[in-house]
Amino acid sequence: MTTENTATEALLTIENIQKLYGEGGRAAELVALRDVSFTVPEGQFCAIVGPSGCGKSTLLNIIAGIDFPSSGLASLSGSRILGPDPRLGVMFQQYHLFPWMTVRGNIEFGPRSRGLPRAKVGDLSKRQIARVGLSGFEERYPHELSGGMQQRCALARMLANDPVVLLMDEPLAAVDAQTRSILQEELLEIWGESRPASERKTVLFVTHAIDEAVFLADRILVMGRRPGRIIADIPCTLKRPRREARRTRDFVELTESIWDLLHDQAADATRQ
Amino acid sequence: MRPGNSDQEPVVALQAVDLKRSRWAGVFIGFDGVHRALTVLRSLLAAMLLWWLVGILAGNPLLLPSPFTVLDNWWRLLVSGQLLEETLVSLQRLAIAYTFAAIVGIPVGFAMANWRIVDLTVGFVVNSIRPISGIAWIPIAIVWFGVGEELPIFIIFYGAVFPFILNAHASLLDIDKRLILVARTLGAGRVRIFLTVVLPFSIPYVLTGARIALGLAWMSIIAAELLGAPNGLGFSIQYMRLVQQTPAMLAWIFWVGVVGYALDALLRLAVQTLAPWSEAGRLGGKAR
Repeated sequence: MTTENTATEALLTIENIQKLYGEGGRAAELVALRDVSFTVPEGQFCAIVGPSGCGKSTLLNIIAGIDFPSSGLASLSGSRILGPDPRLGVMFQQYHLFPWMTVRGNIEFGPRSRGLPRAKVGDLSKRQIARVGLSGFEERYPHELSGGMQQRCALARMLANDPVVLLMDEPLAAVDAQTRSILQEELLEIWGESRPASERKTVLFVTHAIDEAVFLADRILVMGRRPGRIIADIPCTLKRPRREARRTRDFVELTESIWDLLHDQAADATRQ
Repeated sequence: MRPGNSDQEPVVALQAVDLKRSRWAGVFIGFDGVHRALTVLRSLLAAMLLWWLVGILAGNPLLLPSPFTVLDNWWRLLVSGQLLEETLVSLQRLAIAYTFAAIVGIPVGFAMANWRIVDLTVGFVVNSIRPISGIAWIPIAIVWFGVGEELPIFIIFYGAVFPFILNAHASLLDIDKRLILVARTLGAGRVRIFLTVVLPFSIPYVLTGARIALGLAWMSIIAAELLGAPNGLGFSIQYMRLVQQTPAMLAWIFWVGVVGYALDALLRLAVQTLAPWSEAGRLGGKAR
C-alpha cells in the first residue's frame, strides 16, 4: 500500500526547513529544526513521532502556515504555504473549541468564515455532526461535553471545511486510554481506511506515542532532538483494517524497533 | 458518551433544574438553598438584636436609635413616596454616568491592549490618576460645576471608568492565542476574528469590570450627593443630619445598601444571561 502511494505525486513538500530561535546577537542560538525535508503523497497517513522538544509541533505549525521557518519552505500541491489555508485542516492537543459557541456554532465556524451560503452551511454541519456521533448535542456548549465529545466536535469543526490535508498535533493526548483507542479507530474510518487509497484524506499526525503511530500510519517519521531533525523514515505496512493489529507480532516488533531508535533521545529529554 | 445513553440523561436533567433554581434563588437571596437563607436571616436578626441592646446601653436615641424606630422611619419614607423619588433621582444619575463610563472605558481598554503607544501614553495617565479617590475630586468639582447634576455625574463617571478600562485591557492581554490561530486555520479574516473570537472572549472580563464599576459608582454617588447635589440619596442622608433625624438618617443609609445589593444582583443576572459559559456571574464563586 505504501509503495503504491509513494508512486503518486507529492501533495505536501517540505524542503530544507530550518527553525532557529534567539537569532540576532544572542549568544546561545537554539536550532529547533535542522534540514527537515520530506514529501507526503496524496492519501497517505503519515505520523511524526519524537521526544518532547524535538520540534515536531513547530514543524506542524510551519506546515499549517501559522509559524514561519527561518529558511526552507513548505508547499501544498506545488504552491508555497504562506499562511493559513482552509485546505489545511489543523487540530491541536487541547481542543480549543470556542467556549461561547454551541457544538453547531463551532462546527459551522469554518464554512461561515469562507462565506458559504446559509443553507449549505446548515447541511454541512448536520452531516459532520452525524458523522462524529454528536447528533442530539448540537445546542450544547463545550463545557457541557465530555473530553471525548469535545474532541469529536473539534474533529468535525476541522472536517467541515473539507480540507485536503489534516494536520493533527497530538489530538488524542488529552483523553483517557479507552476513549483514545475508540477515537483512533474512528479517525481511521474518517481518514478512509475502508475506502480505496484514492479516496483517502492526507494526514500528518504528530504524536509522542509510538504504538499510536504504528496503529494509525502508513509511514512514520522519527524525529530526534538537539537539533530537531528526522532520524528515520519508516514504512508501516501492517495489513488494514488494523482493528486487530495491536496484538500481532509485526506490530510489537515495529513498535520496539522505533523505541530503540528513540530511547537515547527520550532519556536525554527527561534530563532537561 | 454516546447520544441516547439512557443512564446519562437523568444526571443532565438534574443539573439543569439545579442551575435554574440557583439562578433565580441565588440572585435574590444570595445563596442557593433555604437552609442557607435561614442562616442569613438568623444572623441578621442577631445583628439587629445586638444593635438594639447597644442602643439601650448607650441610652441616647439621638446617637443610636433602636432598629425598630429606624424600620418605622423607613416605612414612613416609603409610604410618603419620598424614598422612591430620591432613589430614582440617584439611579438616573447613575445610569447616565455609568453608561458614559462604559462607552469611554471599554474602547480605551481595548486600544491600550492593542497599540503599544496608547498603552504608554493613555495607560500611564490612567494608572497615575486611578489611585486618587473620587472623593478627593469633590471639592474641586464643586468649584467647577457648582451644586447640581453635573457634579455627581462627573464623580460617578470617575469612579466607574477605571474598572471598565482595566478589565477590557486585561481581557485582550489574557486572550487565548490558540483560539485565534484556530480561527485563522479555519479561514477567518481579521474582522471576523475580532467579532466572533476576541469580543466574546472579552465579555466575561468586561462584565466583571462592569460589576466592580457599579459598586464603585454606587459608593461615589452617595459621596458626591452628600456635598454636591440638591437631591438624591446622599443628599437625603445629609439633610436628615441637618434636621437631627438620626432614625431617618439610618433608614436612608441602609436603603443605600439595599439598592446597591439589588443593582449588583441584576448585573449578575445579566452576566449569566449574556455569557452563560463564564464564571464571572456566579455567586460568591461557589454557588452554582
